[in-house]
Amino acid sequence: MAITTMDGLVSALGNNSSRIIIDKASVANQAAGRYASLWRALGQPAQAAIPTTAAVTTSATLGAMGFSNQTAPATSYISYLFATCSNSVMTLEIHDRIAHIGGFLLNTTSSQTVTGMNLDTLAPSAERIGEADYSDCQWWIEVYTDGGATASNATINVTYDDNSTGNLNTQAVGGTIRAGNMFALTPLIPSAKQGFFIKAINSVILSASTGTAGNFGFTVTRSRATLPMPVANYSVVLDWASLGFPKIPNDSCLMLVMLPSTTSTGTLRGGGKIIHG
Amino acid sequence: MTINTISALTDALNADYTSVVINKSSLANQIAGRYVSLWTASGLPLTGTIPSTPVVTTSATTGAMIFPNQTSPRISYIGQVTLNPSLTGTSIEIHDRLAHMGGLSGGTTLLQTITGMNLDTLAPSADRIGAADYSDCQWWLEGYTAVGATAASATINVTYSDNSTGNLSGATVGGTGVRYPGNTTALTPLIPAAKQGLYIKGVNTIQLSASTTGTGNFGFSVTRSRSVFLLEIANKTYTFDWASLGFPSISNDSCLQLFVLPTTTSSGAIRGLCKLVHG
Repeated sequence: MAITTMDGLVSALGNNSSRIIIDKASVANQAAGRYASLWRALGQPAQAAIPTTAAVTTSATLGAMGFSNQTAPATSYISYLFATCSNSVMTLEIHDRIAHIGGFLLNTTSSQTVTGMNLDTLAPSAERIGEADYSDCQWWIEVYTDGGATASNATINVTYDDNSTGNLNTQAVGGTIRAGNMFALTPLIPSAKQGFFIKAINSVILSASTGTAGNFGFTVTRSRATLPMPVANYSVVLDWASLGFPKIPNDSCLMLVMLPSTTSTGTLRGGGKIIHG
Repeated sequence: MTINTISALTDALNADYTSVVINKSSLANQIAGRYVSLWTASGLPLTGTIPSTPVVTTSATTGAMIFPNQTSPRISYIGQVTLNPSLTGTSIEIHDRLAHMGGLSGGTTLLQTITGMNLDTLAPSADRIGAADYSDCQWWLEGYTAVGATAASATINVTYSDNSTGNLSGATVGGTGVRYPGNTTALTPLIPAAKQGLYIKGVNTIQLSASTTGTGNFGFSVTRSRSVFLLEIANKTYTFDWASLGFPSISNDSCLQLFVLPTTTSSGAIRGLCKLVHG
């Protein structure tokens, strides 16, 4: 059964949980107000590999926070979370990293086909996707290796939930985008496609070479929890109620995303509990 | 039976608990943003014994919070905590100190061999270790008595969860590194890229790049975090209930100690009460 009573919550908190341990090194070269992925940061969870072909990521993927899958109807929930950062005014988010692809270049103006990065094809579980129209899913450009300094705009062709295709508004990828940078794609949906949500990436083409090959890709996530950290070296603690008692489907690939207020993510340390019941 | 209902929790808070008094003196010579072990701080719990050879620490070890073991299936939990810090912006953690060793010298560049600081060998209970891959365990380089002022890079050879070995680098002994009592450096962030996904289960050797010019005494400890508290305002009392604590279970024989994450150069005095419930 899912946890539906206070008794169930008490029992799971005390007796049936997987531990979250966070101990991540800082990722430099970030920008205030721009999301930063800790997928490749050293520490715990482990530094993940740079993706290549499109793949569904799971709790077994190197870089994910591990937890025990449950046998239905038992379910998992994040019920306790704490963290401290060496920088002030930072926000930590925990996302389910549903799928990713990498290996795209920042020094070519040829169209780069994105093969297989389609939620219909990849078919992660419906519980992980959330809403059937993919509105719970957040798509990102994620940078794995730095690009070059020359200005360039990326035109990304996507498939929407109604199976129509189209180009997103362009995203600047020149000016030396850095490893760890994340650029959200949903805000790039043009006016004519408002009300639709991305379910696949088809291709990307740059307006100019940035001058350096670099490496970037596309990632689709679903946010599960948020923890603000207003002051450096202050531990912030949130309980099940403050967290909103987020459900964590089996196989969720839990990753850390930061919204920094400065040019690095800062060292991050924390932990928590994923309870089961 | 374990506590698995709100009624049982209420009963335990009312009538089946152990209160542990906390009254720890401040440790000076700390660094803002770096964890401080209060193991050697005077007060209550008592000043912890400075270790020598590797040993599993328990609730009977001098320095631990004392509480009675429970007969299975009963266990203990942290049910409520009250704390009052003397300094603003103090974060406190309660850890189970699984094992420790000391007696390492800050005054030599010779290879210092550490025999027996391995969780397989020491074999604390599985309940205390947590995840079987040792991912719940946090390893620390910990200062016990002051070493010298010269900063020395430390090369630490460890054994990982897959039984491979390798060196960690990036820790400093002396200087602004681990120099004074209570100073710590966490080892997990030092795991190199090639060993990401593996976790430390033993420490084998340490070698300093230079003499710190003072012998002192430092060592290694391994802990498991149980709960965290943020104390924002000096001299204000904060109360934390079971929900805000995450209702952590406390295994029999746990050696509960305090860690502080200070925002200034001392840990500050800490006063309070920890209520361990049983059921």
